[in-house]
Amino acid sequence: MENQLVEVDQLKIRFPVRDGKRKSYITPVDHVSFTIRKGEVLALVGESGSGKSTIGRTLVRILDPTEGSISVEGQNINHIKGRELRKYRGKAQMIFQDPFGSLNPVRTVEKHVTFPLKKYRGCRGAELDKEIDSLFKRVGLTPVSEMRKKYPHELSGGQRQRLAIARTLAANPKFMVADEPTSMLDVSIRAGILELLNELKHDMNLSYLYITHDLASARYFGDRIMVMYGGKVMEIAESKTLIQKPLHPYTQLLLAATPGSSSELELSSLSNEAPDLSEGRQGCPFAHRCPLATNICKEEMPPLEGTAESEHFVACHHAGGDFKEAFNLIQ
Amino acid sequence: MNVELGKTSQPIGKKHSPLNRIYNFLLPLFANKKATVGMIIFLVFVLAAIFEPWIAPYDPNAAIFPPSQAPTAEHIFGTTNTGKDVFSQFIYGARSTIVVGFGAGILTTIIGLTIGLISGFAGRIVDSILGFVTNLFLVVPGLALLIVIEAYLENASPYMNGLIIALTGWAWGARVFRSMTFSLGSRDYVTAAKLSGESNLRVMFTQIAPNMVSVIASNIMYASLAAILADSGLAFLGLESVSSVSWGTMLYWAKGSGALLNGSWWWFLPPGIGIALVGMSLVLMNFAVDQITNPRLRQQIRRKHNG
Amino acid sequence: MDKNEPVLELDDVSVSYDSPAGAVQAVNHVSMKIYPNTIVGLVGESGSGKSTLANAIMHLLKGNARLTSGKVKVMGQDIYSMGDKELRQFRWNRMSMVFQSAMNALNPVLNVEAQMVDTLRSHRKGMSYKAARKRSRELLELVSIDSKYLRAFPHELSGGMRQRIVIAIAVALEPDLVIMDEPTTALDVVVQRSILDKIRDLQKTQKFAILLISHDFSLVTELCSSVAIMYAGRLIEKAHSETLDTEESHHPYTQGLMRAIPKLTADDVVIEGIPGNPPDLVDLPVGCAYHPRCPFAYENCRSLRPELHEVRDGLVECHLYEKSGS
Repeated sequence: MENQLVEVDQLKIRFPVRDGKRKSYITPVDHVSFTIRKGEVLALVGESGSGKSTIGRTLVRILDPTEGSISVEGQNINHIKGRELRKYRGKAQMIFQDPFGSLNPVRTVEKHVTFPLKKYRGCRGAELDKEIDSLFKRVGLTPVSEMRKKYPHELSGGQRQRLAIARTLAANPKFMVADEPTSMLDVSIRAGILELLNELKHDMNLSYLYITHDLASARYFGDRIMVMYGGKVMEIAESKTLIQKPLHPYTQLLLAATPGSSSELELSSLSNEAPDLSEGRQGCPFAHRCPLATNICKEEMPPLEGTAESEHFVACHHAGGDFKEAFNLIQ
Repeated sequence: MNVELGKTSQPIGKKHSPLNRIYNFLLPLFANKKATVGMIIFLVFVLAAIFEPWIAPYDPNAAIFPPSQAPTAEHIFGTTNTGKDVFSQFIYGARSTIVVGFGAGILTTIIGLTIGLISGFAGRIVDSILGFVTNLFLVVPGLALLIVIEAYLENASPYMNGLIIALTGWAWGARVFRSMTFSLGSRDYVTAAKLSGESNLRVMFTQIAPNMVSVIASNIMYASLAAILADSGLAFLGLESVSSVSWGTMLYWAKGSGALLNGSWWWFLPPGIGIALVGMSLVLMNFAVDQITNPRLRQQIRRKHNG
Repeated sequence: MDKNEPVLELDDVSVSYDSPAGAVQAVNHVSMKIYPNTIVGLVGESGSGKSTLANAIMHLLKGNARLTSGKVKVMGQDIYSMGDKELRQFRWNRMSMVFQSAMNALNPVLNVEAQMVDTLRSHRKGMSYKAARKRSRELLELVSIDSKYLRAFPHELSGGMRQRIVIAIAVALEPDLVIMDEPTTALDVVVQRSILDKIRDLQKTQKFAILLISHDFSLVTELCSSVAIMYAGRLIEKAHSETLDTEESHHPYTQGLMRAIPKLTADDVVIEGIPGNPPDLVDLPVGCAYHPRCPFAYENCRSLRPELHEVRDGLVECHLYEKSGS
């Protein structure tokens, strides 16, 4: 499989938490494996507490993995440091959710891209000037001459996110983590940003890990969708398949809850309990909310199973069960 | 598209002459009345300190005039009981007071900033060591420590005083800078800068520190004020070389010679008012610091002034 | 009460406030009516004036914002001619509001029961403490929360539970109108859906009118019978929500928004953003505020402000519909 760009194997991330005097651990990401091909968008969908942002931040090594391995272009990046880490970051970049928070308020627009251009492309003088110009044109920050000397607060939300994208492109990356890049933008602006990311994917053969809570945009932008709950992978499939033939009860619930799904499911008295993230938890994290759950679900985490040719993998003891009927029964 | 939007934003990129830049930079000082008053007072004293040999009519140490004279046309602040001209002493005192005050203020801030940035950024172990040292300096009673050091040094010059004040007074600033570094360090743009390949040192000084400029400036102002007060206090207690001319030593001599008892108000009022005025000017200028350093506020002011 | 008397009547309402950059007209001559037992959606982007309008209806304008023209009538009574005391009584008894952030709407140092009892007793004179406690229990049941949480403090509850409690408090006094300002925006999809279903249930049984403010088009069309769309402080379209999916004849902005949202279930997904950015309220374009972003704009749009035209049984503020509606 030489066209795999990112290979994540049995990734586990653990954080200490202090509960009064006792120190304990939570594992927001627990034995997660997936791959991203060159030029592919893997959409990672989940609610808060699913571990999706933690995975994103670990892939660009803002956070460190506890166990398992992450390799990018065959290089294991689990424990790289210093110069090697900085070199890796030229390959792997990240777009943040809050476009204003990810820009330095006292720096002008062009200052945000000059450092990475110098560092990763060795641009100097007139060449630097030209590169800034073409970079801003590429992301649609025009007219360029007017934009360059502005400060972030003078830009609109969409322009800020375009600048953040320009900064990541300056490093000449092969792989990008986009952590809910449109969720803080106005509706009319979102599509434009997604379109831009899509164009960049085609033009530069970029790969993305697109983190979102919105299945509709995941389906639009993602080639494949991975659904997570409580730190574990529930289901991975090609976007269209996942939306049309979801096998996992959680995916079905998520689909039914998404506005515009015209689902008949009545959820008004559904419990809103958050998943348990404590270390050493057992069974399927969704079991306590799942209408199909049986004893085995609470004791044993089902493995992620499927066939390689269908590329549809699901981790459920009761995959494909009639979720709606079961759900309406227990209500 | 959006030609309309372009109009509202300021064409900052278009004015590049250095004069314009300085004007734009200092505009907030003039836009804010309190700050204007503060700056005028401050400038008067700075000018006095720079041009003291020309402004002061006599040698401040020449005891050649009739003693204990009330203000006259020749001696506008009167004379001391040994026949020195108070006005000349006042002008000469301005220099040492301001140099010591500002020097100590800036030095304190530099030490505090460096320690604050490092402990806010470098990780748990370094942070706990530096935190311990900072706390140590916080709990040691400042003035008492100064008095002990001064008594040991005997007859320190005002500049030595300034240095000691700076070396003992940085802890408050360090605390403030440390917590600011913590909060700014967790912002997304700092993470993004690291992802752009910037080293920790670079992130500290080019991403975090510029966002603290207003706090740095405030810290300089207040530290200078504290240094002026501490220096004058020490001198007043006689813990500074009594032959030097500063507002503190003027007060020391005035008190020692019973100026308060025999009603020589012209002797102790000028240095006292001088200290109060310099202190007040610093506090007043501080009102405009935020507007100078925050690009958003700066542009609002510019917009109002330029049309 | 007469079924045809509107619960809420806005007549030519304008709100403006001063900003460092100049006067801002946040709401610009908005008129609308909401009838009993209906859910009306109010959609707009940030800066469209939708939240300011909500605050104006509640007489809760903040800072230097003020009503510069028009009348706000709730149940036939002019909100802006009431005295302070009268208004306070009126506010929770006849109309109430659910804010976006439940954490800010709840008092962090009081437990759930105390907050509910407080609200009940300060608006219902003569309600005994015992009766208020009993009512709080009922209200929690109403929003499907176990009564063991009566003793809980806000920080001990999940975001979804907090928002349910805020909704319970809003309907506690059986108001005629509930304004909901982005009630589920900060919540996860599944929680959001369960709360919307709860709101729908409550509305069906209690029959109050809801003004639901949101930026999420698909959410509003699912829940509301009719939708009002705001852009740059103006109400630019009123339509029945089912026509949004089926009909083409809408304001160009509405059409643009519909195209900008990826559809979950459609076979082929193509989306298309609206070019440009939302306008600066300090310096609005001449003519129609939307013209710099509008693909159909012609001379009139750049010079003349359009009027509301009848299109089917809705209204659209656009020059394209000048003649008789297409």
